Amino acid sequence: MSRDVSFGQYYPAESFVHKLDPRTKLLMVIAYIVGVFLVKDLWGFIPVGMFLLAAILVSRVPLKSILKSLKAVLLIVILTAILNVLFYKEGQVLWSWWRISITVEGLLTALRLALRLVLLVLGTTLLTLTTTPMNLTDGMESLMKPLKYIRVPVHDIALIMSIALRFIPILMEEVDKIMLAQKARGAAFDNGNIFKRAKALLPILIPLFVSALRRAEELALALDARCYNATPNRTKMKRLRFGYRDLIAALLTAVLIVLIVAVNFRFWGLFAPLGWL
Amino acid sequence: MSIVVKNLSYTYSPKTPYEKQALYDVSFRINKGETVGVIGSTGSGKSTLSQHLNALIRMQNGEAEVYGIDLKAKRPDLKKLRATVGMLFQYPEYQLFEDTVLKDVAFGPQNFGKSKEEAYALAQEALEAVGLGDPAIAQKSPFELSGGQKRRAAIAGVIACKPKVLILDEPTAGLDPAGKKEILELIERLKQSFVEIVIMVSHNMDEIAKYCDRVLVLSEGRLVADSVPRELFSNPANLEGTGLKLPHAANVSYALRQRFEGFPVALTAEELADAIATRLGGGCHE
Amino acid sequence: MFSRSTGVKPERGGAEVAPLPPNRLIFLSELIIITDMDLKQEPVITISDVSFDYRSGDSVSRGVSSVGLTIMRGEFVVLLGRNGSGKSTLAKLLNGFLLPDRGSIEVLGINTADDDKIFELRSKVGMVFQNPDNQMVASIIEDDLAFGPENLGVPADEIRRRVDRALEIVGMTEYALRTPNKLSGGQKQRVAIAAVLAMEPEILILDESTAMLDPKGRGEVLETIRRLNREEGITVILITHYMDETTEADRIVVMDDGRILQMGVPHQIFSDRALIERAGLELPVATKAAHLLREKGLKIPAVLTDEELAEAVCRLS
Repeated sequence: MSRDVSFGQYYPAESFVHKLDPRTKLLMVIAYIVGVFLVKDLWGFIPVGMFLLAAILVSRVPLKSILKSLKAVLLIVILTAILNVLFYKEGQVLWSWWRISITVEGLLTALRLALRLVLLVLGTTLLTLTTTPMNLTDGMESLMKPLKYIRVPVHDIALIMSIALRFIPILMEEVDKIMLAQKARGAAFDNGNIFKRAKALLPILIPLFVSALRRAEELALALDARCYNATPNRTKMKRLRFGYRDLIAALLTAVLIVLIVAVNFRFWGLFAPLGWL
Repeated sequence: MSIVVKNLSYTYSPKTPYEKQALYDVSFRINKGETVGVIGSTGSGKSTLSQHLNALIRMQNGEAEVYGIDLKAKRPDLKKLRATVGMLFQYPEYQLFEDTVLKDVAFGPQNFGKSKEEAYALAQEALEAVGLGDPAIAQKSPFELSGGQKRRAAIAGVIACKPKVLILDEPTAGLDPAGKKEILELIERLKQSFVEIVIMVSHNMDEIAKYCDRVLVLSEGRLVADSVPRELFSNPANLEGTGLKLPHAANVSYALRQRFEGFPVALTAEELADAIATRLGGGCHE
Repeated sequence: MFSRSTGVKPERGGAEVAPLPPNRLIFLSELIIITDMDLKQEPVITISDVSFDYRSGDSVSRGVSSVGLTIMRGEFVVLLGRNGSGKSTLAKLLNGFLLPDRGSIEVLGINTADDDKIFELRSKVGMVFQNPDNQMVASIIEDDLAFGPENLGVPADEIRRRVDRALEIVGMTEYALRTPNKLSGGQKQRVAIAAVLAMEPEILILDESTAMLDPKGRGEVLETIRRLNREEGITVILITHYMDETTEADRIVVMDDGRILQMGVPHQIFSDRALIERAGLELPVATKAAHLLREKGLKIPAVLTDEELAEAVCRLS
């Protein structure tokens, strides 16, 4: 009650992006990630950035919700950028002191790395914001279907993911409850050295495990009661279907990849004057 | 005056889209020796209120004092407060974690600064008070106990800290009738020998009617009644809008009062039977 | 599709029951006549002298012992007894979670030990457990409902139909696309019931499914169960510790120490104080008051509810 836990942070809306088949979105994100890594010079980030921006605008997810995801990785981005700036040795030296030198190349590499990370995080966040966890698992299950032929239990894996997603908020609430109960018995979780703190977690972790096991027991019964594994010919209520939207999205993704490659290889000589980048 | 709460208001996640006010301007006092019931439907603010009393929730607005400890102070003495106010949550057996019952019960006193020896002595005393004093049980793993025993062990874990106030959230939830009776009788015993104030949060009106001297009624975050059970349960109109019902005995009394003028408010089956026996022969107003 | 609530209790199994005049007390003898008249003649569950013990390593603890019980189609049966009396064990024996050590159980013509028909059995015998949170696999309600029929290989459009219908029966249609996490306890448990209904069971077993709910939630769930029993003709077996949930049962089965102590209509069970004492049960408040009054020499009939007691007292005066 005290905390609103919404894992997977799905943002409900009726948009083009929301309505895409989850498989399309998964494949697009994969293509997008490959694209981000393909980018060699800074200009290449323009089509990627525009593609992302367009996707965000079409998705009707507020920019704020998407940018929030950067908070978690901001430190990593800054840190890698700084390290790159300080320790990149090649290129034109702008400033140097002791074993540290700042070069133009270093600055650019840092910028590239930072942009890459930010774009990756934003892109995958858009996926989770516009796709329900259930749909995501369904999509993955469907994409992994060929693996069935090499005896990979694809549906079991999907079910495990689905159950994990469902139980994360429940268990988080449980942690809250157990913490309150132990606090009421005088437990303190925020003082002492690391060793002491780790030990102070036992009164939470043990009840949490016990509870998870108890839940697992009941869940196992409930799965059996609902005939899990009754037939190898399991059906699905919601069959995933590709539609015209998916076609459009696929084409747009293709355009993106072409653009990146074009920028990289400077076709048409259009980008030749910018070669020093 | 041992617990004083004045104009207490509380809002969860203020200034966010999830903002939700849970308490509005709640004021009451509780004296030594009282057993007070707190009733209200789910989401009426009962838990928020009880969690304030041992500072598991930081006060936002209003004033509160528990045994001389000012909850509004910048840094209230949490250790002292939590040692004074024992709190038993719903399904308290789920918080057991040590490898023996005795160790688990000693967890609280140790946290409150007692030496190992003192804590174990207090734990043993508490276990005896809840009827689990047998060393064979005290050395068992808490996970090997029966459901009712686990709950009693959890209660021991709270009273081992020698609190003056005992707050119980749905102490009988999920137990069978015999287990329920056992726990309620235990609480009554503790009230006589161990603690000065008992605050019982419950959905079970029959239990509240039978065991409490006074009842606080919460509805949508507001304190809508603060009364003795016999008065509160005299008329269903007193509970209107709260989603609560009269205890069974009081319900029958109310129905009979429509026919027998001045039929008293009975709170238990025994009282009801006595009242009916005295009245029968008085005639029925059709 | 399915019949909407008409507010009238349709007769089960086509039985003809003479309507009782309103506000009239039902006496024990009449009730027995009524159950005889009620043509619940087709047995759906036949338990023949079943025993089961839990074994782990060297330790053996009793589950159930020499239990014999026949349940008819459309019956509403309540299992009562203290913790560890064997109620849950019996429930788990009914859909093949446990197999009898001795004796046999036949449910809808299927022997529960028949491995080939275990899933057919489980689809016909729906089971709802105590904690609704631990019964849902999906984060969207309608997807969770689809899980059962999907496992059975039901065609997609048929699943859709069943899911919609199940949601309608439990009154949760508008929540189809929401997450179960934000529902009240009663709503969650109704979803759990709907998830079982989507398999179109003929028997519904509820193992302490109201234990964790507040009074409002309990009321919602009970109301749903009653409707399923009366309108959909589903046979219900309810395990509970709340005596006030038993008053409308066709039959109460009291268990203790793995055995069936007694069975009968609620009036019969609650008039036997020694039995109630022995099985660790309690009397409804009205019933207890009536017993006390009879001890005082007053001629109060057996009652179960507050209303019945008030009526009876007025009648006497």
